[in-house]
Formats: sequence, structure tokens, C-alpha cells
Amino acid sequence: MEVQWPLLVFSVLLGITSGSFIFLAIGELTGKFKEVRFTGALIALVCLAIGGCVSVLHMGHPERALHLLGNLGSGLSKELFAVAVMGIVAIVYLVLARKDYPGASKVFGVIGGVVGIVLSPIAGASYLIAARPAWDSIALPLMYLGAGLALGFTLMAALVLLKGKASEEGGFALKLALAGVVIMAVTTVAYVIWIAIAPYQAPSRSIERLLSGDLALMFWAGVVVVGIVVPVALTVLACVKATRGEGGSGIANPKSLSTYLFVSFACTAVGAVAIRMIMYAVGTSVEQLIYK
Amino acid sequence: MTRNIISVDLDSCIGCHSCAVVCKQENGVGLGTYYNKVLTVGPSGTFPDLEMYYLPVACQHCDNPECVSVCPTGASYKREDGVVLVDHSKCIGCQYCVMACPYGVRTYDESRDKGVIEKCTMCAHLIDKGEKPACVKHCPGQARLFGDLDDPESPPSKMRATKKVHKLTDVGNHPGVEYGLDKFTWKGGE
Repeated sequence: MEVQWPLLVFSVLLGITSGSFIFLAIGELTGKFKEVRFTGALIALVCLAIGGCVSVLHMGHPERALHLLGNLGSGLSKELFAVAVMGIVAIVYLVLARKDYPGASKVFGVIGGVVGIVLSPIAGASYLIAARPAWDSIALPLMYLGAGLALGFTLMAALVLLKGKASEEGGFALKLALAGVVIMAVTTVAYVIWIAIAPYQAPSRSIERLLSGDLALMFWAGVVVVGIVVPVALTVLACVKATRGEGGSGIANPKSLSTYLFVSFACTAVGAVAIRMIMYAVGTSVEQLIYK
Repeated sequence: MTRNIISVDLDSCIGCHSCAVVCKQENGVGLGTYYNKVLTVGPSGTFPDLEMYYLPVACQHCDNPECVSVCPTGASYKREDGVVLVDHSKCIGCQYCVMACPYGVRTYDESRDKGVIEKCTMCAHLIDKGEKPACVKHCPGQARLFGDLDDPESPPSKMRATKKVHKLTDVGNHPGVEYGLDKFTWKGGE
């Protein structure tokens, strides 16, 4: 099917919110990243707000949104509910991050992390539709979660290196960023494997389209090189430099390391867009009888 | 319980597209939008043993319609008599049901009632008055049959009793429409 741009942008921005809050929650639990709490939560909230506004563009009649309570079992309703909860938690956490309420900040930070863990998968789970075999696997929501972790973790880790206590917390932040991009790589590959083995195989949703067909450039360049290899390589490089220092000097420049992570974040975002474009392209229905 | 259905006797279908034309006329379906379309299946085989038949397709009014379960507003709903409809006053045009339909028979219509989903209604406005759907009434080959599947005397039940019936690919939605085909080999999924 055609790329649904409002939904695509929404899901990528939602991933940033999701990953950022999980990162901040880990920080709350370990007593780290205090300096980036406010900025991090603000970025997460802005992404959520922009994503929410963009997703509305997908609807023909957003003014009838009140009817969304008509079927709470629908994936879209669950998604809306999760976004609303995330928004409320993010606003409260943002206020608490400005003040000095460590207990409350920790509670809401952890709640934000928990909501963040389910936020991206819930958005991905909306696509678990038997009619579209290339979507109908747990691998898809996991791929959404993986991208969210990489996006949020690399962005927040870059902020820690730039604004936080880089010498004390930078190493831990880098390890989290590395975990994020590795999970992203694994879940993306898992989703591509699902495309290859999904039931009701047809040329329109075949793995050949990715490997050597019309989607090959987007897959190899956008997903594999820019979306996986570059972010993983840059994050590994940042971790190595943080350990050994610039040129083996034993001293690392946090700003230089944060640049690696910002680029890693940007490449992950490009990869997330590319894999979603492929996801829509191979998301053809079992039988397309009247409309393609 | 009533289970209204439109069955199609493919052995009697002459592929004249009358059902598609009269559907557009009856329901005021705009350009580029179809509630009902006639596809040509084949020809297949090797000369002189060739096979070809016509396959009229529309909403299958499934027993377990995924379009209904995914609709966030309840705009897509299934009536007690089995007809699946869209309440345009509740439809937010999210197109989730379009994605959930396994057959690509729903569309997002911007032309008539902008921003809502359109599909076959089984001419609910006619059957509620005791009439037949327009496509059934005007089929010159009497290939389209309307009635209650729970009534053994209804035309769809009689076709089911006398012919080999087939359904479109079922991914758990249990399509309602039955296609009778004895003369040729069914090419669709079951």
C-alpha cells in the first residue's frame, strides 16, 4: 500500500519519546542524568505533541475524535490512550524536573519509562492485521520498540555528553546508547526475516523486492547501511574512544563523542523511516480485488 | 436468526457488468469508486482445454469482520442480519478498516461525503423494505442470489445444496459470500 506519511512520522517521533523516557527512567533508578532530565523530557514531550498533531492529518474527520471511545478494543484506541497517558506523565515529569522533588520525580520518571516501553509496541501492534501478512507478526511492534530505544538512547546519551556530567555518567550513557542501537539492529533484522517467511507469499510482498527488486536501494542503502551499520559503528567508535581516549591518549572529548551520537541518532532516524516505507510497500492485502 | 447473504452462481455469470453498473446507479457511487466489480479469472490451461470465468467481487459481509473489530469509533458495524455497514456520522476516515479488509473492497472516498469509507451496503435500504439488492434484482443471468442462509428455501441455501461452493481466502474473517462453480476449476483461495 501507499506510504502513510502522517502515521510514519508519528511512529518515528513516538519512538523518540518512548526511548527517551526509558533512558530517563533508567537514570532515575540509578541516580544519574539529573542534568538532562528537563531537556530530555522536553524533547520527548515535543516529539509526542508534534507526532500527535501529524497523525491527525491521516484522518478525514478529526473533529469526530470523540467517537474514538466507541471501540476501546481497537488498536487505534489503545494507541490514543497510551499517547494521552504518556503526555500527562511527560508534563508532570517536566514540571518535577524543574523543581526539586526527588521522590516524586523518581516515581514519575519510572512511570514514564514503563509507559515508554509499551508506547512504541502499541503503535506497532495496530498493524497486526491478518489481512496484511507482511505486518502480522510480533516482529513488527518489536521493530518499533527497537527503533525507539536506539533513537531515544542515542539522543539522550548525546545530551549527557554535551550537558551532563560526562566524565562520571558518560560511560554509562554510552553503554545504554550501544545497547539501544544493537537492539534496533536485531529487531530490524528480525522484521526483515518475517517479511521473508510470512504466510500468503506474493510478489508484491516478497523479500526479493527488498534484496534485488524495486525496494533494494532503499533497503540496502537506507536500512542496512545508513540505518544499521553506521549507527552501530559510530556508537561502538564512541564507546571505544571514551575508553581509550582520543588517539590512545586516555582523554576523550565529550563534545566529539556527542557528535558521534547525534549522527548515530540521525542515521537511525533515516533507517527508521526507510524500514517503515518498506513496511508500507510490502503491506499488501491477501487479495486486492477492487482497490490496489 | 437471519443471515442475509448474496451468493453468486459463477456458472451463470456472463460477465456483463450489469451488477456493477446498477450498483453505481442505485447507490450514487462516484467516479473511481466501486462497491462491486466484475473480475475476469483466466484464461488458464493449455489450448484447447482453456478455462475462464467471471468473478463479481464486493464486500464479503464476513462472519468475523476484521474491519469491524479494528474500527476505533464503532462506525463499522455488523447488523444482526449479517450486513456489515459503515455509519458515516461516526467515521473519522482513519482508513484502518481499509487496511484490515483482506480483499481490498473498501475505499476512502473524498468525492461524495468527503473523508469517509465507502463499500457495498448489500443495499440495506432496499432489503429493509423487503426488496432485493439492486445487483441481484438486475442480474440478467440470475447469477446473483440473495436471501437468508439459515432459511433452507432461500436461493443461496438452494445453491449451496446443489453446487460446489467456494469462498475467497479466509484469514480468520470467515467471508460470507459463497461462489458456486461446477464448470471450471476455482482459482481462488478457500
